[in-house]
Amino acid sequence: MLEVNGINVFYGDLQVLWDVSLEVNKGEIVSLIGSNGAGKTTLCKTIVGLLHPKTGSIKFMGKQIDKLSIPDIIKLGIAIVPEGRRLFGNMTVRENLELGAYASKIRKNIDDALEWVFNLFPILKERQNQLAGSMSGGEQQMLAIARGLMSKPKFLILDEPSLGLAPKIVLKVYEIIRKIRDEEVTILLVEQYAGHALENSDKGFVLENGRIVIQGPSEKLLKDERVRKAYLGEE
Amino acid sequence: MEIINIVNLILNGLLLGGLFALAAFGLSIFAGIMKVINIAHGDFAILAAYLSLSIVSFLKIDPFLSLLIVAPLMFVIGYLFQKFIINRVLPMGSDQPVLVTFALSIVIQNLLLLLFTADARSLITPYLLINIQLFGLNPSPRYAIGFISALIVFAAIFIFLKKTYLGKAMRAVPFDSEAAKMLGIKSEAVYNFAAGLALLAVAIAGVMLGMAFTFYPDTGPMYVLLSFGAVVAGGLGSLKGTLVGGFIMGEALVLGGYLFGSRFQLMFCYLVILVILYIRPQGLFGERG
Repeated sequence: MLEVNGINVFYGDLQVLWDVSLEVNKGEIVSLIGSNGAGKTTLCKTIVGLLHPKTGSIKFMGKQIDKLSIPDIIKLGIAIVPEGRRLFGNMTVRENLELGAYASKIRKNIDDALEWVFNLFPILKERQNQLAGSMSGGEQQMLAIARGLMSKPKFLILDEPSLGLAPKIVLKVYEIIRKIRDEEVTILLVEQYAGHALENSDKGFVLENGRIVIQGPSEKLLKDERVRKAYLGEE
Repeated sequence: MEIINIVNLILNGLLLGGLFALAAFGLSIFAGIMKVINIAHGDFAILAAYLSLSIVSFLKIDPFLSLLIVAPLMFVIGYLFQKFIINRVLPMGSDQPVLVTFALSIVIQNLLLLLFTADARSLITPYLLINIQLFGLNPSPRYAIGFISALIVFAAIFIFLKKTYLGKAMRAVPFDSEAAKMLGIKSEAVYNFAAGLALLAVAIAGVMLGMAFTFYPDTGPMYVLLSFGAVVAGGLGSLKGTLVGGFIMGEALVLGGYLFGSRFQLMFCYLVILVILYIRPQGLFGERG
């Protein structure tokens, strides 16, 4: 479904990603693991079109997308839930959701999409007129994911969905992620801490200093010595 | 002085304040959405007044009716001004746009001087000079039209920002433009429409000011200062704040004039604003930080 082929990405003169390749198949949950500054968010931003690779290519469902604009990429069916949630705290839950459909054709008739996400997140239906900034961290993460789903994506990138959340809430977030996969949304899961991500995904990639250094089925990565040491907190 | 006279002053302060608020909405939109201090704001208002004057004398119609042409024209000017001038300098930081609008201010003033000479002009019509008696009060018709227009323009912008996709995008972009971008909202395109909307409000303000007071090619800067007072007192980024800020300016000006004489009324007005900012540095309805 998504093919990243040897991309090199720069911020100005500074190279951040080096010959990065990865593949995500339809229906999979794929983990992208890496520590702070490894280039995970840069890779996410490049996939959604916020950055463009200098060399290499990105294909989505057979179509080359690495030169397209963000709205065009959204229309093809890719959405992102950014790191740190990035909600519009000055606006209501419902307004945040509506803006999630801004670039897609869904905005003409968003009732279906709203009903879909309210089904997945009943709490948001109750809170739809509340200001997004006034909700708890867990609720805000749910809203961020729901906003990402409002364009009815085929492929959803979740950038650090468990960041800053209590362990109990993290379990809830992962429950939702599995539910979303059951709705036939393919997922790229980006995390610093590998435990939950690998337990809930089909395969994984490890990014270090802008390069993919390890890849393979998730259960294999969970047993990998290097992964256990660096990303599962084991000595 | 009788109590009825004081009430009369307060009433006219309120009406004048509405006119000031109306004058300030455009500046408030630029400051709140694009985060640009539009120094040429007042000159745009005076430009609209001169456009109205030309149409009024050419077509022999009422200044109100001239808005049917002036308002859409100013929308287009605002859209193009943002698209071809401001958007280009926005990535250079916050100083550059201010300098550009300053330059534009001078260009507009000189252009108006060239086309219309330095003579005093006005859009005052006979029906604005009648004396209204209302429960012993004398509300000024010249201020009242500004006040009513302010409420209508405020309600229209408010509903637009609340109900339409574009309006919601105009609130989202200044809050977090990168997050908006990731949802496919192009800041620049949103800014173009916001600038159009701002100058639409400025057009209405310019015509109402022209119907209330005489104007010259170089009257603009005075209205920037007044508008700035309303925007800052009310809090940057809050249209409601600008409305209330306008009322405070109007009251301060009228009551200051009564208490200390017309020579000191403007000073009193800005002293009130300094006191407000001392108590609430972010302005009455502004967000902290």
